[in-house]
Amino acid sequence: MSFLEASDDELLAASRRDPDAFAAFYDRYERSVVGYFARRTDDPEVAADLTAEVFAAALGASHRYRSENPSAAGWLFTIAHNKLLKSLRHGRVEADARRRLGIREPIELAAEELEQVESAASSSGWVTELLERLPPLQRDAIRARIVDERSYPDIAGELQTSELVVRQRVSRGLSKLRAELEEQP
Amino acid sequence: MTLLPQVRNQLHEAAARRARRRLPRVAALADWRRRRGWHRTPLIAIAVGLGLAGVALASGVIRFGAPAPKAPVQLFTAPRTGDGALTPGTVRMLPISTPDPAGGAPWGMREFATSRGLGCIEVARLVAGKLVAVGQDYAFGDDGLYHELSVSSGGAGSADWCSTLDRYHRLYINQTWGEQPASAWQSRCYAPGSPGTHTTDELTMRAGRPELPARQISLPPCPLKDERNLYFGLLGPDAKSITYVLSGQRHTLATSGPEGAYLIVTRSTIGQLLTGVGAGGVVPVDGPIREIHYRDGATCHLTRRSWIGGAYACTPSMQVPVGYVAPQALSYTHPQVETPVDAKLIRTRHGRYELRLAISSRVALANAESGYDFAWYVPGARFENHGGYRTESDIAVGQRVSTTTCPLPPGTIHGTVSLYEPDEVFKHKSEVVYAYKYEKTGILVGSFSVRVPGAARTPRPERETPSPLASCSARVLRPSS
Repeated sequence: MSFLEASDDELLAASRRDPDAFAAFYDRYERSVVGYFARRTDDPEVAADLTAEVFAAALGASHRYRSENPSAAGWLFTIAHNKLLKSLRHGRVEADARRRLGIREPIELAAEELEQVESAASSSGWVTELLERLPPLQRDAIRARIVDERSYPDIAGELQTSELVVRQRVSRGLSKLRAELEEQP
Repeated sequence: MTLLPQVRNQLHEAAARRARRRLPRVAALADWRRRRGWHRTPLIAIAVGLGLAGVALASGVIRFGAPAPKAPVQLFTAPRTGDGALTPGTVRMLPISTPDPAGGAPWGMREFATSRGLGCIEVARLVAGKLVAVGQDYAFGDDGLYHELSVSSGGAGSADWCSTLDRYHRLYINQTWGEQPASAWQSRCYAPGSPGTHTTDELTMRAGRPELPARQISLPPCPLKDERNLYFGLLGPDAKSITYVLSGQRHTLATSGPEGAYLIVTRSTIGQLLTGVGAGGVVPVDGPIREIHYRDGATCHLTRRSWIGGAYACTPSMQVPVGYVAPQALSYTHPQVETPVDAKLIRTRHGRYELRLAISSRVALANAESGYDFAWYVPGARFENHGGYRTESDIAVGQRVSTTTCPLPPGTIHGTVSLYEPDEVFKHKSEVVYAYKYEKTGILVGSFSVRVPGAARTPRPERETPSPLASCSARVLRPSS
């Protein structure tokens, strides 16, 4: 099986016996996860640490992963979000998942790698471009729900508002995005 | 090329170590299963399960468990805020019953009104004239029983299925929801690909109580076979039927009752774009419905722009929903609501500045769709990135309404306060473009302009300019060292 053509599900299943499969899974999502953390932490070293922790957790849980969805992005970013919240609560990046895997060396980034992480944060892409056109409340709600694939109660908890309000913001924001797309030639 | 080669190498080595350790364990497990005759267990379990199910069916007894608990978020209990409280005596079961694709209890729908002028619908499984959730797919401990839903239960996620009632207190609403659990009960499993690690209850409870310890509970993905797409709504007494297309087949479905109710339930499919986010409006959008047929012979053909409503809703152009009579508009004018905006600079302990904005309301507002909209604009930021605050509670005449901004950058901050009213039907394209591009601003109440001390910053066009609210979010999210 070519790892390039394999689904996430297949890569995670194969990673139980083939480390290259997990490396392929890592390569597939590294930039997205690094960008996710770099944008939220504004600190490339913290972002790298969190990225390592997320993939370590994914490796540790790969044998439990079951999905009929060919993409594991939602699962991976749920882990990423939880790692971020947990680290914020504790005031430091957790290393539990890495410790469980026997990874103990700290991550040291060269200057070039720091730049690469920063560039991952600033590469906006078309989704960000579109979202930037929304009012902030709706943009934050859509980013949390659609891009980060978080649950409504989760978002409502963070924004200190009701689930109803978050749903309305997402719904109205999507309507506006649709209007933007419709207006484009 | 990898961004973090050290991380990649560490993980690769860890994966290799795990793979080496796994081999002896796999062999040992296979040996244990052979010795214990483990492979026969599923067959025995299936046989026992089928036997029990047969007995239950033969007895013809509908088994109810305890009523479903109230949602952790207070639903329809606060009379003066949000969607308002349930208006006593308004809950009505609608005369509709739609089979589930996998059999079992059909799906039904009920309607109710709230103290803040909204009408709401709720969809769930229908048993003995009641809306229920089913103990399956991890809900209610998989007890297989029916659990009656109250409007405060939340059910399959009824939170936003509300809209303003028309002048004759009738509800016109259309909703499209994907990947809803067949159990009609949220929060015990997640859509495929997103197992999640918390229960909804926990997160909601913790939202207001950060001191509670975070308990991590891994939630399993909902089985795809037990996920449903729900297309439902009320089209009013003038609607006769709808035509929808599924798997290339056209179907015509008569609407039910004077409410013009319809409800279509399908299985979710892998890779579908409809992933739980609901959309809705005066006509059905984002679903399989193509036409609405009215009793007077008119037909509304839905288009890609139907979600806009008004003249865009149908081809040929017609105002829909047919029969809908807009509620009495508040119809305030600027002179009736105009009032000074107090804008006071507050220096934070970190040396930055926030704005305290306040007005005294000249009118009373008691509708979920009306309130005050505060907006402020930061120099150098794009127009769309303005900060904002919207009231979501009843407001009395003379009541003080206030909000505080996030820390603001130096420069001149200007902004407005406006009164927003229940959604209107747009008549002209220019209205639509304005409303959806720049937020509908409503009736101007007042404006303000304040100079925040400090050296004005130079905008950096090469980087995205964060909104004032985004900067607040970043402050919350930034890890402490």
